[in-house]
Order: sequence, then C-alpha cells, then structure tokens
Amino acid sequence: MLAATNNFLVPNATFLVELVAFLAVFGIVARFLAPPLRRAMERRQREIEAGLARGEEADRRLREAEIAYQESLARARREARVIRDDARAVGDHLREEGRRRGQEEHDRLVRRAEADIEASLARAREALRREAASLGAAPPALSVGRRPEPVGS
Amino acid sequence: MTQPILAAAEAINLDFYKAVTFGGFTFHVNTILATVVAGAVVLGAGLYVRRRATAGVPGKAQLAWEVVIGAIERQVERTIGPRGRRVVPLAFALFAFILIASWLELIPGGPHPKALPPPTGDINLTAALAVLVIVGVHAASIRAKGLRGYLRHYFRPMWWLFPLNLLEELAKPMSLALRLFGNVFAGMIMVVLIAELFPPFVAPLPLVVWKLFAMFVALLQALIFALLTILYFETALATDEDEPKAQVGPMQPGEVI
Repeated sequence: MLAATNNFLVPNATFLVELVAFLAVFGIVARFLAPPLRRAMERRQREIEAGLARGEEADRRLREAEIAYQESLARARREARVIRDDARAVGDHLREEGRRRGQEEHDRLVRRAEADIEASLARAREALRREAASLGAAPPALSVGRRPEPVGS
Repeated sequence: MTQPILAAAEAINLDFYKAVTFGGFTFHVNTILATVVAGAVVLGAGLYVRRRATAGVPGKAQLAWEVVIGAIERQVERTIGPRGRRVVPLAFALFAFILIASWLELIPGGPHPKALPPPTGDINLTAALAVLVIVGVHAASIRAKGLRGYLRHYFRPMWWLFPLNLLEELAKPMSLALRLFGNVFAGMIMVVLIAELFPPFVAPLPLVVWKLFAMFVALLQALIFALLTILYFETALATDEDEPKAQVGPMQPGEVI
C-alpha cells in the first residue's frame, strides 16, 4: 500500500497559518514595495513624455524658423530685385540725361563757333572794306569768309 | 507481470507533508517553513529593488519587477479601468508569491517529506489564497454595487438562474485552489515516480527535463491565478451601466457577440 497519510485534499490548521503568512506578504508589497516602484515608473514616464514634448516643440520651432528663413529670403530677393530695377532705371535716366546735355552742349558750342566765325568774317569784311575805302579802290570780290567745312566732313 | 509494478508502487513514498499536531490542530510544518522562505524571497527581492529604485535607467532587478507590474497594470486598466488600481498589488503579490513558492520544487532534497516542498503543492496554501481572493471579490462587489445590487446579480439575467449563479460562485474558489494545487502536486508526484521507477544512472536526465517543464507550468499557473483574480474583480466591480443590455431579436450579419 502507499504510505498512509491524512486526506491531503482537506485543509487543516495550516490553512490559517498560510492565510496569515500571505496576508503579511501582500500587506508589505502593497504598502512598501509597489508604491515606490510605481512612483519611479510614473516619474520616468513623465520625463519621457516631457522629453518627447520638448523634441516636438524643437521640431515645430525648426519648421517655423525654416519657414521664416524662406520668407525672409524671398522678401530680400524681391527687395533686391526692386532696388536693382530702380537702379537700372536711374542709370538709364542718368545716361539719357547725360547724352541730352552733351548734345545740347555740343550744339551750343557749334552755334557759338559759327557765331564767332560769322563775327570774324564780318569784322574781316569790314576791315577790308575800310582798307579798300582808304585805298580808294573798289572792294574786291568777297571770297573771304567761306563757311568753314563742318568738322569731320 | 503486474507484480513487479505493484511491488514498486508500494515503495513509492507520497508523504509530502511533515505533519505535527499541536493543541489538537494539525500543522504541516514543512509547508509553513517553505511558505515563510518563499515570502522572505519575495520580500527580500522587493526590498532590494525598492532601495535601488530609480526613475532613470533601471537595473535588471527593477526592470523585471517593472515588466510584471506594468503588464498587470495594463491588464487591469484594460478590463476594470482606473477604479481597479487597488487590484494591482494583490495580483502582483499573488503572481510573485505563487511563482517563487512553486519554484521551490527546484531545490533538491532527500526523500519525502522534504524540508522545503513547494507549498503550492499543499491544499492549505492554495485554499488560503483562493479564499482570500474570493472574499476580496465579494467585498469589492458589495462596496461597488451595494448589498441590494450585489444580491440582485445572483438573479441576473433571469431569476431562475439563481442556483447556477450560486454554483458558479462556489465553483470559483474551488477551481482556483484545486487548479494550482493539482498542477504542482502532480509535478511532485512525477518527480517521485521518475526518481523511483528509473534506474539511478538514468533518472537525472528525465528529472531535469521534468523539472524544467515544471518551472514552466509554475509560471503558467501563477499567471493564470493572477489573471483570474483580475477577471473576478472585474466582474465584481461591474455596475449595471457596464453590463451589456439583453439583445432582442436574431443576430444581424456581421454582428459580433
């Protein structure tokens, strides 16, 4: 026969001792062991979430800075284009103004030179006429005073 | 042909418990000692982790505890919700204690009764754990639903299901206790059978294989005990708003229960 023993399916006084023993284990775990561990887990979770939030904030700022940079670049390019166009317009205007003034000065000098030449011719004719009058002879044919050839012809 | 087998069976000692009678009461002193050892191991490991607990990078011991506690918290959150936070320490204590207590089987000892048998192979411990859980479940149910609501649930969904509901409530602690006890006790018997029936030069190999399997079974049983505790509390804490309304009419195509 198998070694005789009590009916092992029927609890005895050991049941109460086991109950008290496990209640003690449970009480210590619930009161002293689980809470600090849970607090550490929650604190780590919060730090991880804060780190992720900071990372997302940094990404958002980077994107905004990138957009602001692109907008500034576009604005600067637009302004540069306007300044360049204005400068070209001013330059064209100045060039045109200079050409016009040069032309006016040229015309004025030419007219003045012609006037001087005419005056010289008139004085020369008058001098000859007086000289001829003093000599008592008919004035010679006025061959003096041929209009000068234009410059460059 | 059967004579040698019966003769061998007569020599098998299944007296696992060292019983001592004191004041008319019987105590299994080796079970009590093993329970104290298992409790000391769990609390010692817990105190070690608590002292080194950090919110930074956890050590291995802290990580192991956090994995278990985190899994239990997620399960409780999924089934019960925020009001089930108090169940987490109970489920964790049950899991850790049952696991360590069952793994005491790995400690080799002489012939039975061993000095440190796995206490979960004693009906006294498993019954104590089961009674504790069931009393807690009923207390939580009364607190959540009130006494009237608690008594009313025995007559739901139909009043004539009362006997079955009552039977279910009686079967819960019995199944909790006997499931854990049966698995560990059967493992203890297998160890004895392997040691006794195999020749001494052959027995170590199947013993090692069986003990590894027994470790896995112990882990499963600890898991099942903790999970069932959570599920029983979930049923107890469910109020009328949480219970599904009775469906009227046939199921529609694609409808899932």
